[in-house]
Amino acid sequence: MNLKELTKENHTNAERQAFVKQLMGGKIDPKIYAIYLWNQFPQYEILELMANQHGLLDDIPMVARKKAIMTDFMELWDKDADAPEVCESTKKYILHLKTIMDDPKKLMAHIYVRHMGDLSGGQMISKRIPGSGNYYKFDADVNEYKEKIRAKCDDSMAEEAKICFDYATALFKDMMQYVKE
Amino acid sequence: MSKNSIIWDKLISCKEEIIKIFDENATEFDEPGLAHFNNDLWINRVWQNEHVRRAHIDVVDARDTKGLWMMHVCVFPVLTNDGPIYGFDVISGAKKMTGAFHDFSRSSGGSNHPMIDGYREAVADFIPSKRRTLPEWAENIFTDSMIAAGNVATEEEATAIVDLALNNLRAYFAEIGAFTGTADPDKTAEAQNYYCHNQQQNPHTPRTMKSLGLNEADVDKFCTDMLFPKLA
Repeated sequence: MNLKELTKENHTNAERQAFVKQLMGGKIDPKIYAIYLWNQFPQYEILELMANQHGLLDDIPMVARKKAIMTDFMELWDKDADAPEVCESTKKYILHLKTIMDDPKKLMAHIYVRHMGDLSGGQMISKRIPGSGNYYKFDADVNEYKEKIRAKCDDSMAEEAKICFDYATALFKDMMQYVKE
Repeated sequence: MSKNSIIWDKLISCKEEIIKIFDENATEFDEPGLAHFNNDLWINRVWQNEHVRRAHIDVVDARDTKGLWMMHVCVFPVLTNDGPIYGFDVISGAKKMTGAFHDFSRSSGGSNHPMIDGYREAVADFIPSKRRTLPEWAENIFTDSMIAAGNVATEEEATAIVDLALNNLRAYFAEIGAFTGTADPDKTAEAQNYYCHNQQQNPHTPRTMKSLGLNEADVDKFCTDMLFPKLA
C-alpha cells in the first residue's frame, strides 16, 4: 500500500464533510469563504515556517501558500470590519504542530496532506470559490510539484497524515456554524 | 472475415481497460431488462458506486459477420452530483475507425463545471480550429470541445484517441466524488433527461446497430430504455 491508500479512510471522511460540499457547490458566501481563509492562514503560516527550518520546501519554495491565502482573504474581507474569529480546531491544530516542530517526517506528512491537496482537489475547488483564488494557483505545472512532494513522502508518514486529515475535518465541521442551510 | 486488425486489437484492449477501470471504481450490478441485450454478438454491462448511478459499456462485435466493431460507454453521476456525463463511442472496421466521439457533457453543473474545464484542457490538442457542424440534437448537449473524429486509419491516431478516452475516464472517477452533495436532484434529473432526450434523437445510433445485424425491435427498445434511459 502507498500513503494515499493508507490514509484513504481519513481523506474520504474529510471530503464528505458538508462544508466541502459548500466549497464544491459553487455558491458559498464570500464572507464565509473569507472566514475559512482566515483559519487556513495561521495553519499554513506555522506549518511552512517549521517546514522551512528543516529545508522541506527548499526545492519547491513556490508551493508555499501563506501569502496567497492572505491575498485572497484581503480581497474578500471588508477592510473596515474586525477580523473573524479563529475556530477551536485551528487553535488545536497549531498546538499540535508545535509538538512535532522538530520532526521533519511528521511535518512532511502535513505538507503531503495540505499542499498536495491544494495541487489536486484544490484545482477543482479553485473554479468554484469567490475571489481570485490565488490559494490554488501555482507558478508551474502542478504535476511537477506533486511529483516532488511525493518523492519526499513514504508510508511511515501515514499515521501523522491521518492526524492532519482529521484536523482538516474538524475545521470543516467548525465552519458549518457560519453556514445557513 | 479475418479478425486481424491493429485497430480492432487496440479497441478491444481499450474495452478491457474500461471494464478494469469500472471494476476498480464501482460495483457491477444486474439492471432489470439488460440481460435481454446480452448474447454472442452483443455485450451490455453496468456498474455503480456512491457517486455514479450508472456506468454502462455496450459492445457489438460484428467483426465476423459485418467486419465492424462498435462500443458505447456512458457514465451518469448520481442525482446529488452536478458533475458531467462521460461519453465515448466508437465504430470501427478492420482498417479504420469510421467514427469516434468523446465528451464530458454538461449536467446540472452547467458547461463551466470544473470537470468540464479539466476535460477541455485535456483534449485541447485534439480539437481542430475549424469545428465541424453538428446536428441540433448534438449541439444541444455536447461541449464545444467534443471530439468527433472520422476515418481514423493510423495506429498513432487511434492510440491517441483511445489513450485520451481512458485517461479522461480515470480522471472522471478520481474527480466525480468531490461533487456528490452539491446538486439539487430534481435539476440533475432534468439535465440528465435532457441529455438522454437529445441522444435519442440521433438517427445514426439505431441505424448503425441494425446494420450490424441486431434484431430491429430489440435495437429500438434498447435505444430508448437502455442506451439513454430517461429517469421517471
